[in-house]
Amino acid sequence: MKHQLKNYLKLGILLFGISIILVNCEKDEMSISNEQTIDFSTKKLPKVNYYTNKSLPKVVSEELEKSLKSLESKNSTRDLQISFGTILTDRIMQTISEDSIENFTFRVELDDDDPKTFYNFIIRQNADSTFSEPYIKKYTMSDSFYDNYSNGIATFDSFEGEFTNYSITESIDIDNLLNRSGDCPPVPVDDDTTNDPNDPVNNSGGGGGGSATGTTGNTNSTTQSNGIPVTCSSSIVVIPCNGSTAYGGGNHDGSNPACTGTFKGATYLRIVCSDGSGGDIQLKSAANKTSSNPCPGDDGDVGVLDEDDVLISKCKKLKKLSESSSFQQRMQELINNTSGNTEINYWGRNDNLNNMNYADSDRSESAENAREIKPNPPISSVDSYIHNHSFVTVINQSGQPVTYKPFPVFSGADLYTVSNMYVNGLINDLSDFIIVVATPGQNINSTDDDTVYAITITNTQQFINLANALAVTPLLIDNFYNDPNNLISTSISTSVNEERLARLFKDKKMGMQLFRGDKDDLNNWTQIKVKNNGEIQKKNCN
Amino acid sequence: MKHILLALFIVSTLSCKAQLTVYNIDTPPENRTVTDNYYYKDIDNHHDAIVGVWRWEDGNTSFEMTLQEFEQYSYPISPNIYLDAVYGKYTYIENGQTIVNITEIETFVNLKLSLGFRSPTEYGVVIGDPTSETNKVGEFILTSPTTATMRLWDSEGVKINYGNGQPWALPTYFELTKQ
Repeated sequence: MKHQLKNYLKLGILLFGISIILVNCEKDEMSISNEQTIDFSTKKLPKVNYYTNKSLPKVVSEELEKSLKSLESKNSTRDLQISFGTILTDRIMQTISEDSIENFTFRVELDDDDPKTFYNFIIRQNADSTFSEPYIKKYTMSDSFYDNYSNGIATFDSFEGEFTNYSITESIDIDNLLNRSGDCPPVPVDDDTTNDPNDPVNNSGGGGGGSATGTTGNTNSTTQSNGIPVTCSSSIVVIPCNGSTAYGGGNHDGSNPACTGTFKGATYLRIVCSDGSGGDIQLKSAANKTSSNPCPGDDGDVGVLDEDDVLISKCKKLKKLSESSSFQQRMQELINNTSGNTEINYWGRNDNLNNMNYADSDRSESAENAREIKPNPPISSVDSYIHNHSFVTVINQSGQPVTYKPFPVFSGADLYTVSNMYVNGLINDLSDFIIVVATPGQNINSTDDDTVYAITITNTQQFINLANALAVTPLLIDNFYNDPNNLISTSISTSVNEERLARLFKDKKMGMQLFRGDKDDLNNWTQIKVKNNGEIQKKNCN
Repeated sequence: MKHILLALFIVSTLSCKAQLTVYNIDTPPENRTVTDNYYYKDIDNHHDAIVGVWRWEDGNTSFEMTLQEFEQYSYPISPNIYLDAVYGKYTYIENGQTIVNITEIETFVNLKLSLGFRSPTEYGVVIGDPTSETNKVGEFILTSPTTATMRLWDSEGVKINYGNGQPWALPTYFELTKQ
């Protein structure tokens, strides 16, 4: 009997253990935050500016170079290749907080398989113009937030998850970042919306440090009693710590030393109006968490650059390109030529005013019905290339002429060429580089159903991996197009091919982004992207 | 108690591990619900019809290729995406003289010949010519269980620094017989 009871007890423990494991492996449910009363305090908001590497203040550029010397940086492109990834310099966010602390946020790319994480690099200039040690900030989304974020339902505004700061003054490598074993403990930012009366962020009204500012939201306007219009704008801020300079600086009353004590994270909707009114609406707040180890800390308002900023940045580049008169003129030539039987290619170069030019000397045209165009490589590095595809008529085995449909999207050879250009140092700046193709539709006699596509490089590290692979095995790219798991072919429709090309970029981690243009309005671009559930997402740039 | 702990460990390991999603090789990519950790498997064994030795002969000129299936292969650039792939080697002899002789069937990085499933009787072809250091694409069509045609053409698009200037060494049309 006793033995039987013992067996039942063992079985009970086993079943209990299994149930605990299964519960723990389930995804957390998404919670919806409570609505909060708008508290229009007179709190000042950080000033936000965006820079590129060209416009970045010289003193910050120097600090960036200096701080990265220990990380084996090499300036082969304008982005900074470092031992653990790439610091992108095409869109840099500056936040200037009320106490004159300036934080410069850069997006960092790693060859990271985890789509729930992204990285920023932070340089802080203090109020006395000195610089603090720069650091890496890693954001890790919660499962529930990631589902909505990756499906385009949520933006970073409603961020849930945690972030971790990493000092770069100590030895740092990619494994260190990917394994989340940084020198700071992760700080949770979850959906606990409990209003804490002791929360100094919500209640002190004190000068605001330790916050992360997101992308600017809507702008609305009303009219004051004196008839002067009042404009209000909103932005999202993630306030990671309990007080102004916590998480590295202690609480704003100076009671706690760096990185000790209890701190909080929260997401706020921050509203500012031209009449001086405004305030924070708490969207998400974090649970208490205690830490005691020294770590690089946020101070002042720290900007966040996430995926949406990449899209904004690339759309701006395409808009700038589309405004170039040389681009417009040459593209019209290429579109007209899609109903011919040759391919034309131009290498593009930015002039002193950053306008793209396609000179006669950078033009090549294939032989008739040649299918491929083999232009001479550019004599010096370039900023883009544009070309067209066309119908091809050849004589078949029976001696009869047969007309073949051209590739309706970028071909494997087009991608091989851009990787070859990179390997041979023929690209000025990968993150600025743009490839455009004009492709014919089904009708050989008309350009009415022509399409225009563009590719930008969004992850230089992944692209470099691809370029290195193609340098060894050029036919690999044709293999990718030919693989049954993602066949891209002239035998299927343009719309299916464009989606499969976007899938190829995603699945093979090629670091490229596809945009579809409009041949009748070259300033109209749509990003074609694959979500992690395999669905296609199309976002217009305008 | 030791057994219970062991059982709990095994259950926890299996239940939390990332799963590999298996798709039949004819599944359109649009029907895929994942972008990583998947396997395109030749569940219906279509590849059995093409693996082996195929030969074309015209007097003293011949082309012979050997095809082999590589189960659950993944490219290093996408290590979590698997595929039942068909790779091959070939020998081309022209007027009794060996022009190309690829002696090993290799995967990336020394890949020289691959066939990709499109339908049970149609495959896409990618083939490299070490003589010219260029490649062509094409189609392989089964016309009976023991005969097939293979047609090759240039891949389309912009090509720079491509090839060594030598001409393409192989014919571009073959009527093949399975050996």
